[in-house]
Amino acid sequence: MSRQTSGRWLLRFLTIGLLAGMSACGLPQLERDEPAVRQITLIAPVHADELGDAMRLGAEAAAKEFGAELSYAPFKPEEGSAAQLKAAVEALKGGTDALLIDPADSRVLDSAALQAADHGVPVFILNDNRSADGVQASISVDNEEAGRKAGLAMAELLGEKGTVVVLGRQSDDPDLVARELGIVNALNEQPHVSGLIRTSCGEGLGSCRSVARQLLREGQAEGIIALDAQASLAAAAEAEAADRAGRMKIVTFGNELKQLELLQDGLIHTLIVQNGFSIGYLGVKQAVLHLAGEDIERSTRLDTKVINAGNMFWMDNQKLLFPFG
Amino acid sequence: MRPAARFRLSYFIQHLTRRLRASSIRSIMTWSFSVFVVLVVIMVAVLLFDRFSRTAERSAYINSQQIVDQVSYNLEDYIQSMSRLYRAIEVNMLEGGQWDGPEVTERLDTIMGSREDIVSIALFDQQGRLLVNRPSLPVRASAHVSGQSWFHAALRVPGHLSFSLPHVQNLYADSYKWVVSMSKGITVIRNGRPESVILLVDINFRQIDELCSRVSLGKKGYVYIIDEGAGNMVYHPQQQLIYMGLKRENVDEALKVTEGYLDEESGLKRLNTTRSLANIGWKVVGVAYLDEVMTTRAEVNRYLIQVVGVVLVLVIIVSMLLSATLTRPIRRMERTMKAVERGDFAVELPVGGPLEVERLSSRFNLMLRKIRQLMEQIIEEQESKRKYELEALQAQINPHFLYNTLNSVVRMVGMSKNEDVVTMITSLSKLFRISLSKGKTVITVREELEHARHYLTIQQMRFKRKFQFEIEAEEQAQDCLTLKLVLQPLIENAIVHGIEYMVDEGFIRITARVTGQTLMLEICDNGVGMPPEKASRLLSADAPQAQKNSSGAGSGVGVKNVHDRIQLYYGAQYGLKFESELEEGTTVRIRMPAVAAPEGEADHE
Repeated sequence: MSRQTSGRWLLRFLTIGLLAGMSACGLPQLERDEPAVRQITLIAPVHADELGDAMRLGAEAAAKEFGAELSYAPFKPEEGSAAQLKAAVEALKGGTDALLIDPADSRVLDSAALQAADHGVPVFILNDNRSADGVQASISVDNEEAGRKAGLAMAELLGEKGTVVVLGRQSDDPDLVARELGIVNALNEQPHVSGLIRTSCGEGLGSCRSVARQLLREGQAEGIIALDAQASLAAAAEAEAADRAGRMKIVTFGNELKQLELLQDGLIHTLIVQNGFSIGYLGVKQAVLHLAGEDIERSTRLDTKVINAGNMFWMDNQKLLFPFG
Repeated sequence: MRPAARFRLSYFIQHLTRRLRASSIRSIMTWSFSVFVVLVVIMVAVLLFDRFSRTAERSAYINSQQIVDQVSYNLEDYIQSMSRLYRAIEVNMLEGGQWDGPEVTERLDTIMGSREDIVSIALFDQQGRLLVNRPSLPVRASAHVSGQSWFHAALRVPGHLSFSLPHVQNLYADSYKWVVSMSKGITVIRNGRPESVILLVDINFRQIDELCSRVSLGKKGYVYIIDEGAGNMVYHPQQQLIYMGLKRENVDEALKVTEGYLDEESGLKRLNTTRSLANIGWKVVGVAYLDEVMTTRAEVNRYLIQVVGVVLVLVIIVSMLLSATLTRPIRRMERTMKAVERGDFAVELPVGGPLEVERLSSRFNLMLRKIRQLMEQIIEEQESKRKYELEALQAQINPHFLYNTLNSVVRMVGMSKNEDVVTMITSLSKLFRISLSKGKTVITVREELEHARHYLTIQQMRFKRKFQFEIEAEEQAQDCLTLKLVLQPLIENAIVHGIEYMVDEGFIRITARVTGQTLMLEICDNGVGMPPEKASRLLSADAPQAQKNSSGAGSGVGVKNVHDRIQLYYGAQYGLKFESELEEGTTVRIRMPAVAAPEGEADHE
C-alpha cells in the first residue's frame, strides 16, 4: 500500500472513531434523580397541647419514614378556631401539598375544606368524624366505643350500686354525641347502675365547676363521667373541695397534664385515652399514599386505651400519655 | 397506513434484508464485530457491576458500623461523664454523713447549675422516705417511691450505680419529665451510726434522645437502644408505633448477635448493626435500609444497561460503516465483473485501496488484458484460417491446371494416343474426386498419396516423361489422417522449380512413414535445388507470394499456405522443413501428428 493510501485509511478510521466518541458523550450520566419531596402541613388542635404534641410526633415519624416534609402549626392556649382557620389558609397559600387538620368546629372545617378545594389540595381530617367537600379521609378514634369503655369502667368502679352523672358541654359536636351514646348504651346494660343523669355544664371552667358543685351538694351521684377535659377538671376540683376526693368516682377522656396529675393523685379514677401519635402518623401516611396516587381508606377508626393510676406508668402507657420529643 | 407508504416501507425492509444477507462479507463483518464488542462490553459491565456492588455493600456495612460505633462512643462518653457527676454529687453530699447542712446544699446547687441535664437530686432512706432533695420540693404521696424500679435496683445491689430505663418522673407535682434515673444504695456513717441511704440523680433523657436521633443512616434509617438484660426498648424513634403494633423490631436477634444481621420489614431489606455499651448494659442497634444504602447498586445497574444499549447501537453503526468501507472495493470489482460478463471487455478496475484489494485489482486487470489478447489472437487466427481454406478451395479447381491438362489431352487426341488420353482423363477425374472428397478438410494419407500419384501422372504426361516418380508408404502411415492438398503444391513446386529446367531426367520420391507420434511425409527431388538461405526464407512471413501463378502449371496455392495450414491445424511444432542444395535437389519434410483414421474411412477409395 502506498504511503498516501494508508494515510487516507487512517483518516477514515479516525473519522469513525471521532464519530463514536462524539456519540459516547451523549451517554446517560450517572445521576441520582430525587423524587419531589411532598410538603404536608399539620394544623394542630386548639386547646389541646398534649394531644397536639402527640400528633406532631406521630406525623414527624411518618414524614421521616415516607420521605415527606412536615410543617406543624401549633397554637397558644388562648388561641381558638379563628387562629386555626388562619393557619390553614396560610398553609394553603404557602403551597402545601396536603392539609391535615383537627378542626375546632364545623365552621373551621367547612371553610378550610372549601379553600383547599380551590387550591386543589387534599384535606385530611384528624380526630374528627365530621366530613366536608374536598375531604379525602378522616382518622379519628371510635368515640362511641370510647364512651362504651368509659361506661364500663365506671360500672366497675361503682361496684355495688350507684348513680352516674354524665357531665359535659351541650354541643352538637358529633364526637361528643357519639361518646355520650356509647356511655349510655354501656351503662344501660349494667343492672346495678341505677340512675343516669345528663347534666350540661355550659361554657367555661367556672360555670362547669358550679354545675359540679351543685351536683355534689345534692349528693345524688356516686360517679361522674366527664365528657371532656374541662368538665373532668371541674368535677375533680369540686370533689376535692367537697372532701369527697377519691370517693367520688370520676371517669373522663383525654391525657392533658392536669388530668394525669389528678389521675396519679387518685382524684380521677380512669382516663380513656386516644393515641394522638397514631392519628398524626396515620394522617401523614394516608396523605403521602394519596399524593402518590394510591387508594386509601376514607375513614379510619382507632382504638382507645383505658388508663388508671395503676397502669399509667407502665412503659407502653408512659409513651402514650407523656409524648416525648 | 396509506398503500404507497406501506409499499415504500416493505420495499425498504426488503432492500435492507437484501443488503444485510447473512452470508455477505459485509454482514458477517458487521455482526461479528458487533457481537464481539457487545460481548466484551457486557463482560466488563458484569465484572464491574459485581465488583462495584460488592464494594458498595461492604462500604455500606462499614459505614453503618461506624455510625453505630460513633453513637456508642458518644453514649458511653455521656454515661461515663454522668457516672463521674454522680460520684461528685455522692462525695459532696454524703461526706462525713452530713447532707442537710447549708454548705452541702450550696455545693449541690453549684453542681446542678453547671449541668442542665440534671433534673433532680434526691436522697431516700431504705423505706423510701425523702431525706433531702434538690430542688427542694415535696414528694407526691402518690409517687410510691419504694415501688419504683430504680429504688429496687439500688436495694438489690448496694454500692453499685444503676441506670434505669427512660421513664416519666412522677415524684413532684406539676412536672412529668422523661428522665433516666441513676441510683445507688450507699451506707454512710451518720452521727457514728451506719445508715443505708439511696441517692437518686435523675438526668434528662433529652440528651440521650438527641444523641440517638441525630444519627443519619440514610433517610429512613435510625438507631435504637435495647436493654441487654430483658430486651426492653430503651430508646426507639418510633416507640409509639411499636407499642401500637404498627412496627416490630427483631429484638431477640439483636440481643443474640454481636456484629450485625440482615432482616426484612414490610418487604424492605434492612441491615442491622449492633454494639454493646460498656457499664450500662444497653445495646445500640443501627438500622439501615438496604434500598437506600444500595441505591448506588441499582443506579449503576441501570447505568450499565444504558451504556450497553448505547454501545450496541454505536457499534452496529460503526461496524456497518466500517464493513461498507472495507467491502466497497469488492463490490466495485463485482460490478466490473458483471460488465465483463455482459461482454464489455474494455472496462478496467481502478487500482487502489488496501494492499490486498490493490493486488486483486491489478491481477484482475492483468487477467482481463490477457483475455483481450487471446480473443484478438483467436479472431486473427480464424480470419487466416478462412483465407487459407478459401485458397485451398480455389486450388481444387484451378482453371489454369485444367486448361493445360485439357490442352495436353487435345494434343494427345490429335496424336491419336488414345491410351494416354484414357490414362490422363482417368487421372484427372480421380484427382478431382479426391480434391473434392465431399468437402472434407482432412483425408487419409492413402487418399492424399493417391491424389499425388494422379497429379504426378498427369504432369509426367504433360512434361513428356521428363521425370520419373516413386511413392513409398508404410501401411501404418497410409491409415493416418492428413490435411487435404498438402502434397500437391509441394510436388508442383518440385516440378516447376526443380525439374523443369533440368537437362537430365528428373526424379521425384514421395515417402510416408510414422515415427513415434509423428507422421512424416517427404517429397524428394533431384532438381536444380536452391541455396539454403533461399530455402529457409521460403516459410518466413515475408515469403514471396509471387510464385503463385508464376507458371500455368501451378496449382496457385503457395508452399507457405501449406505450412500455415498445418501449423494452424496441428500447432506450431508441426509444418514444413526444406533441405536444399544447388545442383543436388530439394527435400521437403512435412511433419504432422500421427492420427489414425477411424475404422471404415481408411478404405475410402
